[in-house]
Amino acid sequence: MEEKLICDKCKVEMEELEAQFSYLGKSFRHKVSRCPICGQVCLSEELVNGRMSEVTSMMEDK
Amino acid sequence: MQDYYKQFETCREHDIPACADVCPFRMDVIALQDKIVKERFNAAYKTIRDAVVFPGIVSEICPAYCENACIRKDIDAPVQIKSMERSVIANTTRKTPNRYNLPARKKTVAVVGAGLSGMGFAFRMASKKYPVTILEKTGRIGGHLAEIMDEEKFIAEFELQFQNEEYELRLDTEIDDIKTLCKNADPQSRACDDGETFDIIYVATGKDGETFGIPMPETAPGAGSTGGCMKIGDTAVFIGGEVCGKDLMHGLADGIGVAACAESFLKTGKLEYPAQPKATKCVPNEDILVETSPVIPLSGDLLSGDECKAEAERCIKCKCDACAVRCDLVSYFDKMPVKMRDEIFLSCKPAGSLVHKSPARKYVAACTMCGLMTEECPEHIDLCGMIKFARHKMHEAGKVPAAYRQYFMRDMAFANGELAALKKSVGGPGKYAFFPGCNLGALDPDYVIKPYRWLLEKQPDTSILLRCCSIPVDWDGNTEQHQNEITSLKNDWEDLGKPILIMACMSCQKHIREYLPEIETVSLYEILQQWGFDTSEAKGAAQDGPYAIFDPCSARHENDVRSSVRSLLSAADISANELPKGDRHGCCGFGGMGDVAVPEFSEYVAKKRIELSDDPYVVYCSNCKDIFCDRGKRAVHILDILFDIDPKGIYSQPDLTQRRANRVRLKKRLLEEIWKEKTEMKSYESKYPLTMKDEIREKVNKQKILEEDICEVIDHAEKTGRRTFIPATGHYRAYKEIGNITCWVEYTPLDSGYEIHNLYTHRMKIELEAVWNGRKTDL
Repeated sequence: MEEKLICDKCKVEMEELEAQFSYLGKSFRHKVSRCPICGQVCLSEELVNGRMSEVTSMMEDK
Repeated sequence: MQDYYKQFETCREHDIPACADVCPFRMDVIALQDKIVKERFNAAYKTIRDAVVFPGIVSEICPAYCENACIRKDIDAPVQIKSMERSVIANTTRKTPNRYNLPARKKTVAVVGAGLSGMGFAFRMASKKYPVTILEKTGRIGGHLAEIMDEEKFIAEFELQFQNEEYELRLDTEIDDIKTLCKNADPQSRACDDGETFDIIYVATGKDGETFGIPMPETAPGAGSTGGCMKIGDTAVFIGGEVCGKDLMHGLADGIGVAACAESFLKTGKLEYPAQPKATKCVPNEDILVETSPVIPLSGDLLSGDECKAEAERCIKCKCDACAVRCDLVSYFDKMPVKMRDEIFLSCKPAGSLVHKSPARKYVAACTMCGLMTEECPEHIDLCGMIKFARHKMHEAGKVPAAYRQYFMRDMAFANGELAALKKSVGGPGKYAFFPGCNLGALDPDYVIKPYRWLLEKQPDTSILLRCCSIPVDWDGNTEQHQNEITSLKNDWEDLGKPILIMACMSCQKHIREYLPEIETVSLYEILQQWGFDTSEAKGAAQDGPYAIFDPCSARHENDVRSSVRSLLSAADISANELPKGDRHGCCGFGGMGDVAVPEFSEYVAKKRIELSDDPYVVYCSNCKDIFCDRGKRAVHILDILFDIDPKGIYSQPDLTQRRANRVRLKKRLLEEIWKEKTEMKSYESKYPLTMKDEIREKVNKQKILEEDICEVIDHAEKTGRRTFIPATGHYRAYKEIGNITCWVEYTPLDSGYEIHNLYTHRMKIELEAVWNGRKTDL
C-alpha cells in the first residue's frame, strides 16, 4: 500500500478508485488514489515516472 | 512525399563489397570471414563449396580477383582471401558432402564437354537428382584444367564432390549436330543412332570449341538475358565457359549459373540466361581502416588456423553504411533509412485514413535536423528533408503530441511578445540591422548589448530586430503558424527599411535564407572581422590551454563564417584546434527540439559531440554552449572572449525562468541605454517567491517548467482547495494542466511564498475528474 494521503478539501483518507485517462485519442481506466467524496485524484511520482511514462511511450511508438 | 520516397531506390545498403562483386562466383566473402573468425572452418568450407562447387580446384588456380579489389591494397596489402581459402580447406575436418534424399527427376540433362565449366554444371544438376549425361570428345575429363593443375588432384576433387551424385560419362563422344540430341527438333535431321534426346543441353566445349550455332551471351553488366541460350525443338540449349571466351573461373561460374537457369526452365518453361549483375556501388567506411600488416605463415606457405583467423580479422567487412556511421538518428534508433522511409510514409497518412499507425513518430520527433545524413550519403538520399516534411504532415494529421514542443512554442511566443521583442532603428532606416536571435539575450543581455554597441560605433544607423526567427514552429511542423511567423518577420524587416540582417545565430541565418531569400543576411562574425574588430583587449582574457573549435551544424560548409571565426580567434591569440572531422559532425543535440520527445536521444547526441575532443570548446552558437555547459563540458562562446563576458567559461547557465527575466532585462536596457528612453517596463518576476533546493530546481528545468507555471499550479490548488495532504511529510500535493502537460507540485506554504519539494509532469490527461458521484464540480 502506498503512503497515506488525505484529501485536503474533504479531510478524508484517499482510496484506490478508478480514474479515466486519455492520450493520443485513446482513453482507459486505472485505479489510483482518489477522494471517495469529491473524486480528487492524486498521483504519486512513482506512478507518473514509472508505469505512466511507460504507457505513454508505448502509445507514442504505435 | 513521393519524390522523397523514390530517392531511396538508389540506396546502396544491400550492395555487396567490391571483393564479392568481382568474384566470378560472387562468393559472400563477409560471411566467410565471419565463420573463419569464429574458427568454424567446416562451415567456412561449406560456404566456399556452395559458391564454387569445387573448392579443391578453385583455391589452387583462382587468380584471386577479390584481392585486387580489396580496399586494403592501397594502405597495406589486400586481405589474403585465396590463402585463407586454402587454409580453410586444410583445416576442415569434414569435407564429405551431405547426402540429400531427394526424389529422382524424369527430365534429362546433357553436358557437351567435360571441362571445368561442364563439370560444375553437371554437379549442380546431378545434386538436384536430374539424370546427367556428360558427352566428352576426348578420352579424359577436366579439359583445359590438365594444363595448369596436377591431374590427380583435380580428379580427386571431382570424385570427392560427386561421391553422392550419379552421372553418366561418355568419353570419346563427339557431337556433330546438336539437333540430334534435342526433343522434337526438325524431324529430318534426327539421325542419332539410338534417338536419345534431352530436355536440357549445356554446351561447354572449351576454348575454340564448337558452338553449334548458339548465340553468344551478352557480357555487358546489367544486360538482360539475351543470347547464350536458345530453344531447339522442346529442348533448351545453353552455352557457357571458355567457348564464350571466358577464363576458367568465369567458365565454372557460367556452369553454376546456367544450372540455376536450366532448372528454372524445367520448372517454369521460362528460358533465361544468367544476367550480368550490376556493378556494386558499395562505399566502405574508410575511417575504420587502420594499417595492419598481412599475416605471413610461420611455416610453409599455408596459414595455420590461428593465422587464418588473424588474417580474417583484417577484413573491415566493407558495406555502404555512411548513414549508420554518420547520422545520429540512424545509429541510435538502429534502423536503416529505407526502413525509416517506409515507416515515415505510413506515419504521414492523413488523420481518418484506414492506417492510423505512426511507427515513425518518435524518431521523426527526435531528429536534430542537422542535415548530415543527406550530405554523407553517397547517393545524397534526402532522409533529412523527408523527416522535416513528415513533421509538417504529421502535425497536420494531428499525430504529434503537443507536449513535445510545448515549451518551445511558448518560449517563442514570449520572445516575440511585448515583454521581449524589439524592433527599433536609430534615426532613419539603416543599411544594417542586428538580429541576435532569441537565445543570446536570454543567456545574458551583454551578449546582445556589447556587440550592438560596437556595431553602432562602426555603423551608427544600425537598427535592431529582437525576436525569434520562427525556426521552432518549422521544427514543430506547424505549417500554418510558421507561415504566419515568417510573414510577421518579413513585415518587421520591411518596417525597418529592408536592412541587411547581421545574424549572431547560424541557425537563424540558415532558416531565414531558406524561407525569406529576399532578405540579405550576413553573420556577425564576418562583420566583426570585416569591420576590423580590435582584439587587443581580448588577448589573454581566455584560458591558456588550447580550445577546440566546435562549428555549429548550421555553419557546415559556411566557409566564410568559419574562416572569420578562426581569424578572430587567432587575432586574439587564442589557440584553437580543429576537431578530427572539422565541421562534419551532427548537431550538439539542441536542433529539432526533440529533447522532450526522446530525451535519451538528445543525451546520446550531446555525449557524442562532447567526446569529439577533450579540449574545452569554443562555439559560436548559444544553443551549443547551453548543451555543452549543462553537461559539464567547458565551452565558451566567441563573444565571451571578444567582449569579455565570460571568457573563461566559469559562470553557470541561467535557468529557464532567469532566461525570461534576462530577455525582459535586455529590452529594458536597450531602451534605456541606447535610446535613453524611460520605460515603465516591469521586470519579469514570479507571482510568489519560490524556494527550492538545487536538485529540485534542476529537475524543474529538465522538465522545462517555469516558475510561473508552478505558481499557477499552487494558485489553482489554493483557490479551489483541491490539494492532497501527505501526513508523512506534511507537504501538499496538487496539479494543474499547463497546456498539454500535467504538472504535479509538492509544496508547503511559507510566510512569504512557498517551498517546492518536488515536481513531476506527464503528458497523459486525467479525464472527468470533476464528474463524481453523479455531480459535476467546477474545477
